[in-house]
Amino acid sequence: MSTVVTIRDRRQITFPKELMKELKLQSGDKLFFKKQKGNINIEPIKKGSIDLLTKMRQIAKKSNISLSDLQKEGKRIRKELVEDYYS
Amino acid sequence: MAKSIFIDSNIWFSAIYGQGVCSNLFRKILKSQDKIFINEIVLEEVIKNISLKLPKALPLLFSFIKEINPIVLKNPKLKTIKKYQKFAKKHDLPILASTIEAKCNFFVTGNIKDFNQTLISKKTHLKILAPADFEKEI
Repeated sequence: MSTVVTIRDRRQITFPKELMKELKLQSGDKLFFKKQKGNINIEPIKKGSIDLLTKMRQIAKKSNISLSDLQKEGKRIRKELVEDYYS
Repeated sequence: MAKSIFIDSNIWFSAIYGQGVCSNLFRKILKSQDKIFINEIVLEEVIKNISLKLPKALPLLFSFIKEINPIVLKNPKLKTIKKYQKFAKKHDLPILASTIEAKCNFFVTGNIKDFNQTLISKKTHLKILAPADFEKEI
């Protein structure tokens, strides 16, 4: 679906109802604007999940655990789980 | 058409730990109609690792899993795993086997060297991709 919207006085725009329905958007949702070779790409963001990732990242940064520690431990756990499950 | 994408545990850890290609990958999938897949081993591995290494992040991880609502595949039987013996290292085989059996389109992992990509692409429909390559693909 293609559509045209107008930027009003206070830099506001209204999304057509049909577009909102098709993209499963509702008021309060966030959109990610990305400039790409003279065009603008607009992507909806599922806010909740991205916020949760950001919060987990903040906890990880404050810890003394490195990404490498996390990955190594993941490998070890996988080995253990696979061996337990299939032994 | 919606794609089915299996996300290996190492991508989850990278997305949780740092901003970049892996968290972008989740963002991109979530804004699309595509579906995230994992299996029982991957789910347990992610939960166990976060509870051991970043216990404060565990409630957030549970909310994240609930929010993205991935399809959790059952662990394959040993008989099924044996069909794919040459496809990957021993401990990755159950994960790979459930992905192939579920007919997923993509398997995204940070450890592509652990998988026999040539054989997998020859014998199955599955594409094994590193996160940066998967990002280009979608």
